[in-house]
Amino acid sequence: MKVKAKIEQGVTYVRILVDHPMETGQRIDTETSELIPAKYIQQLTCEHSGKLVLVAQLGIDVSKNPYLAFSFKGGKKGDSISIRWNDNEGDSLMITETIQ
Amino acid sequence: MSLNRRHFISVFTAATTALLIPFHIIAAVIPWPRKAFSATKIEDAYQSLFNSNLISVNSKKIKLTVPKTSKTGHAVAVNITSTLEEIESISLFIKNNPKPLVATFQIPEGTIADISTHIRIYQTSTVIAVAKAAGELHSKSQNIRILSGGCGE
Repeated sequence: MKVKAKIEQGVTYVRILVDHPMETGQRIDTETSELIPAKYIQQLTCEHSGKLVLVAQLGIDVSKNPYLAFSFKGGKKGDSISIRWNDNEGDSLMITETIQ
Repeated sequence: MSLNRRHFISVFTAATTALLIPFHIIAAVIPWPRKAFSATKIEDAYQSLFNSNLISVNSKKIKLTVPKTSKTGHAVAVNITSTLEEIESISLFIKNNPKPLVATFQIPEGTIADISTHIRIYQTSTVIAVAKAAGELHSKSQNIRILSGGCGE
């Protein structure tokens, strides 16, 4: 997961790129001819100063290696934000990034 | 394909701190709306997600940016912005996809109603953004033509 957070005129712009297959559960493996099980991110949240600034709930129509960009007010340069995702198989990842 | 988490952490180490946390620590803020995401008809997805099908169309306070035509539907860039007051959420639907609900974004106070992402569009379809603001539903839609089918990846 790669996160960039940049503040401009009081608005923090966050860009997130997650490394995730976002398998739909409808693709067939060409080598084994078997269905590839679904594996996709269901929820991605962003927290700043103990407050959620985004809750994104996703399904299988979101592209592989999801990209998300959003912005919020109230951040300061040097503040940290935490981004966390979890998928349908219970895997999850969290990273913390500093607002630049 | 099964991606090893450690593998992609190692890919993006620069200037980031990454930690793995066990799943049980994560408390879902709002339960993931399983029924709405599994709906195969857009009307059912609306009903399940919003508990209503009453959505005003062609809102002037929502701007939906998607290309009119795309060569493939693997990763189509979409941006949604809104100037609606008291906005609570923005949701995105692709009418002709097997599962029309793409994503729903909760917009807490202080967060700007301006979301960008990349989505899969399986065939020529209407893309619909629905914003919930002050308890009411507003939408904006646009057609997109997909020149070649298939969303293999």
